[in-house]
Amino acid sequence: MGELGNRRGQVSRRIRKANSVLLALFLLAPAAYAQSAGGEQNVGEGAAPESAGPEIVAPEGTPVGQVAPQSLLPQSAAPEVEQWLGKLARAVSELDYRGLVTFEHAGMLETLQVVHAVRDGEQIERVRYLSGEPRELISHGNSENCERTSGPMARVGLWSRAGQQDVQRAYQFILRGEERIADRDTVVIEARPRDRHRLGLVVNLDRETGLPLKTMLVGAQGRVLERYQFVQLDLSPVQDSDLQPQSADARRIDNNNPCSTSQSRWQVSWLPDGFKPVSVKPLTDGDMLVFSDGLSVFTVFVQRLGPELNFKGRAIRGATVAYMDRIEVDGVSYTVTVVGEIPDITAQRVASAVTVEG
Amino acid sequence: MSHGNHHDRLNESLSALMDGEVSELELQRLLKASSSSAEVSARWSRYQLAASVMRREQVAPVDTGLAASISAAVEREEPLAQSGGGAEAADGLANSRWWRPLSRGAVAATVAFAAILGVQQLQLSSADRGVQSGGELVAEVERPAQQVVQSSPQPTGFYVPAPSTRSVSTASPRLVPDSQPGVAGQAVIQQMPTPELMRHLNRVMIQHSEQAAHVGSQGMVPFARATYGEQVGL
Repeated sequence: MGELGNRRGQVSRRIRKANSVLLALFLLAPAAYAQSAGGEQNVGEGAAPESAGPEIVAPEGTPVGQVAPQSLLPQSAAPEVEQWLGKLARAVSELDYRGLVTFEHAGMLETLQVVHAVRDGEQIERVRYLSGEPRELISHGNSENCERTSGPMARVGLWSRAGQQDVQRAYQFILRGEERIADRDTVVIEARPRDRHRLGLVVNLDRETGLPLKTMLVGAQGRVLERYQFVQLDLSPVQDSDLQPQSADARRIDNNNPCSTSQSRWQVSWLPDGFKPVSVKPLTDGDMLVFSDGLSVFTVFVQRLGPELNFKGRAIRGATVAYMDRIEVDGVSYTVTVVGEIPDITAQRVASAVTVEG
Repeated sequence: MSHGNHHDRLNESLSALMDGEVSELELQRLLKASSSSAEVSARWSRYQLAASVMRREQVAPVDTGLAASISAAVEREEPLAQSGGGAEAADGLANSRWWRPLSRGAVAATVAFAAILGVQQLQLSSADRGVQSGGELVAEVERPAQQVVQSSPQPTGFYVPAPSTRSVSTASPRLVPDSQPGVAGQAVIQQMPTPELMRHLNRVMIQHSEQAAHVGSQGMVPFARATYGEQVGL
């Protein structure tokens, strides 16, 4: 696999060189670039998928059932892929591990320490940033999962048959080979979105345990928006002392009841195909509605906030986008914020589709 | 120094800039030159267009004013070279990929998002555009992409592109200076978020991430995201 890596390196260098030539061309004929732009689409970095493959499906609003007729489904991802995904689901919830991770997005590189352990059926997870501001988080949670979570990335439970088909309507899963990460052999799996409403995912699973050792979120044109990658992994049992906070102001969260199904007066009249509600939570100043297609998650916040938050537009941090909008109901103005690892356009459309019940 | 020589050197600097190999000194010189010379400015715009096309970014056709917006951006950048007063502009612009080589300090200091408003949507596909109200001034500055970093080591002695990834050792957030008074009627303006806005965005991003950890999760990635947003004073 190292060989492939090298080849990629060469290719990208060659592309760079070619770019210089192209650059000269563009200077001579700046207007000509538009035609060439199409051709550029195929010059990809090796690992990055072209966003949605050729089979873009379903005009907006098509019922889920029609999104991807059987003929378009890959003869379900190769059984091998399914096995890997099952292994992954078990690994992320059941394994004890600790390691060092690099987390990159928006051109920033941060390093962090992660610890995961299971104690009396409870998952304890600790994340501590080793660079930048000291930040630390400790989460305690039972293994319960939100209902929609039949997806392959479910933290708990095996990947059910139904959930599998569901998520395969939205993504095509491809086994992409092998790579060595953190001194371990991994298999590379790509989840390629079938439409433009969601991001792609490339994940490297530890060959031995199925633990994801590298996760990349990929946007349109194969641009990598975020990369989370182990540089060191220790699978020996985690000591209790490793689960203790190392900084005084570590944030603790209790994730024992992560999903609630409160009633909300807010509704979303348009959702990308395959996204379903997984949780509805009341906040002090509004409601929070969570949706997922089995892989991607976004959250819709509808809150009554001050006029200083009268903002219409988006904020972007790595792969996460927040699109803000306002909605007026009975003379009262509410702030709508759609947050998620989804394309900007999707967030915007969802935000504009928020309505009040009845 | 003859004018011609000076000119050549500027062009060289410009090329270096596009390759991410410009020195601070050259950078200052370029910024200064671009503000006074329409030609340098125009050339810069063309480089940027060409470069982004080659990175397979979608850009708007020339005639919809992308070049103009770049020029506007260049103008906004100019005070940075002279007074430092344009730092907030640089922060916002840092979000744009081709701009990154320009605003080193700004990028390093900007740990949180750059929220962007008021930029026409360049990336809207025509299909989507039909859905949106045309006059809406919504930001569509492309999302900063994480360059794929090669795993294999670069041989020494060869040309190595300047690293696109910055290691952040100081995260002291120079986040939100005074928000600039919005220039009415100007379509292509980027605006820095107010502290209230930053707090709100941080809060919703954290809440979202913590929730996402229990839905379609990739192990502990959402926790990494949730924790990332915590900033002193926010």
